[in-house]
Amino acid sequence: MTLLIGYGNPGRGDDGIGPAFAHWAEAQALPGLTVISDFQLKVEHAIQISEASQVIFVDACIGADRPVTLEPLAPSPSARIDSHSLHPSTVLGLTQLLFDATPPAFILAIAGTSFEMLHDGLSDTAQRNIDIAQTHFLRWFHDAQVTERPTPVEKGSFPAPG
Amino acid sequence: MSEPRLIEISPVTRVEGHGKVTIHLDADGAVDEARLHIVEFRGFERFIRGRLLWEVPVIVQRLCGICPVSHHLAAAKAMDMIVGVDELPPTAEKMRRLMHYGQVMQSHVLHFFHLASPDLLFGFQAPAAKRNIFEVLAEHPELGRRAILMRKFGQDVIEATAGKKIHGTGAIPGGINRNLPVETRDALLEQIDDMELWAQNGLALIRDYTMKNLDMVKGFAAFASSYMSLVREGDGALDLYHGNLRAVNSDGSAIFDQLDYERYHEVLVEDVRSWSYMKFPFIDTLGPKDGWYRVGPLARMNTVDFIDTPLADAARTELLETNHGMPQHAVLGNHWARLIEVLHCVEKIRDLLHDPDLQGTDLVATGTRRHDGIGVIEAPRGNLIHHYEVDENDQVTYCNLIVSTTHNNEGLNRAVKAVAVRALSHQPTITEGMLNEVEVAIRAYDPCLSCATHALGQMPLKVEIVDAAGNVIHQRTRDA
Repeated sequence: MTLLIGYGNPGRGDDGIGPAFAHWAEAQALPGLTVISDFQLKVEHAIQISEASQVIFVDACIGADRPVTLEPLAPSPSARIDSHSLHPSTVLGLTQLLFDATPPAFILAIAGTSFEMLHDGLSDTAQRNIDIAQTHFLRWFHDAQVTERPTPVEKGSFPAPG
Repeated sequence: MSEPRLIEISPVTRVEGHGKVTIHLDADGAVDEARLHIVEFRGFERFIRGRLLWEVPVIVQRLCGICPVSHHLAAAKAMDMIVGVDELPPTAEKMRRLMHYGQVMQSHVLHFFHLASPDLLFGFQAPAAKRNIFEVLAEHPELGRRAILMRKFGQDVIEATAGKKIHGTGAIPGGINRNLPVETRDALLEQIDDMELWAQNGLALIRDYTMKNLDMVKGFAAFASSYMSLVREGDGALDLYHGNLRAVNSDGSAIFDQLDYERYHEVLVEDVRSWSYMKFPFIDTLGPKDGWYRVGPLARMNTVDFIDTPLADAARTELLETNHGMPQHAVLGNHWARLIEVLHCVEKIRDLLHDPDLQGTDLVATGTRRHDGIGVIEAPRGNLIHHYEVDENDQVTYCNLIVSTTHNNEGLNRAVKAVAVRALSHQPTITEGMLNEVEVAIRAYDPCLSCATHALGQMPLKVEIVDAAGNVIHQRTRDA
């Protein structure tokens, strides 16, 4: 089972990219894909991650020179937890430590431009970048299903828009 | 071709509520002043104006990614008043209560096991590399697994009652939009024995820690104060979802009691100070100097007459015995109180899951429209007040929120100063461990600075030490 976790705050403009992508992914009803949407990463996500064959985090990013980037992600077993939300590598570290599971993990970073407080909806740029990400994600997910193994990914493998 | 670069998922996308502690030293190196500042203001109350009353319980969840359910329920209660509903159908009230107990339980579990336990198990002065949750889990993996499963249980309760993790829609003006299917009930009941046992184990852990270190706990950032919370109408029992306001002095005597919370503005005044965006509420009759008070888990243990679930009630009695049955003022007592409330929530959830009203189909009541609506609940961090006015077009024209961390503003500042004076005055070197003691005092309140600034999400914290000449001689920043 591939687990997709899209996270972010839809009430803060393009920070809602992750949940918006998760909403789209869920609507695709792809066999073998489980989708979670949340405000932020939390410790209990380690449970679902431990049961997955691979996991892909989907998050907004700023200051990127590419609209969409997919990268492998390693567990971080030493990060401090000082707050109520976590970095994806910290959740992976928890998964490894508590459940002895280290599914291959990736982060799909989708560039946004507007992160204003209390602002509904995505910017045109974010929406365009989500469209790009959807195309690449479907190809990536299909390859993973065909090969029945975790999909190796080179850093920055998604192209800039033509 | 350039090397692929690592994309930074900048935390700025979710940085929403900034705290800053400044500690001023005099020429002799003694702590002269210490303050917790809130340096950002978001203006949620203005944002909400013009919104339709029906969407308010959903929109207010944007205030905070940490406790959205608290705002969802407080706003829904206010909107019950607006739509003229004074009494919900039993199914609606019990579904909301179930949601709330799930929220309080999972919030307290996270705070105790993942945020506070490293300080308690390894000591405030332990090296930062040691003082983190991974070290706790390495030594106590079963504890960590259980804590996560308890978190998940609480989240499952929320999802079963609110519908979604993001922008749940369960509570609506006048009621609830779903009941609890039998299959969901049974799935939760299958886990309830484990939850109760693990809650008792966690409670024993913090009770034993406190008793073993009682002198330290009683002396750490401890000072007498007044306390305020809701208590159940009539008998004064702990009631996290509904009741009347009670405030007590430091000796437990009443300042006001069984006050209808619709009259909160008659007894509370919100003071403003130039150096913080967070207001300073006080009890009007006592004035700004003496009228400050504290809210939260320990405050609730001090204000209520009893807890109506047997295991939690026995635990509360044991807690208060550490101060001869009088209010307990030690800020670290909040950790013990939090675990008592976890057990209380589990007991309440068990009772509710056995109640057939949860499968009822009468979900919404109606009434005659009103102009004003006030909703108050006891959120995980303490009392939470939502107040709205709505015009004839169903649009919000006024909003005022008093969140738990704002109630605790003066207490937080006093705790920071108490620790700073003891740990930092006349020290030749300021160590990371000393600064952590300041954070431990803040953390005991489990403050939500994003809520307090009426922003969203998290709480980065910066600590600065300033010498007598105004130079910053030490600085530490913790991102959210």
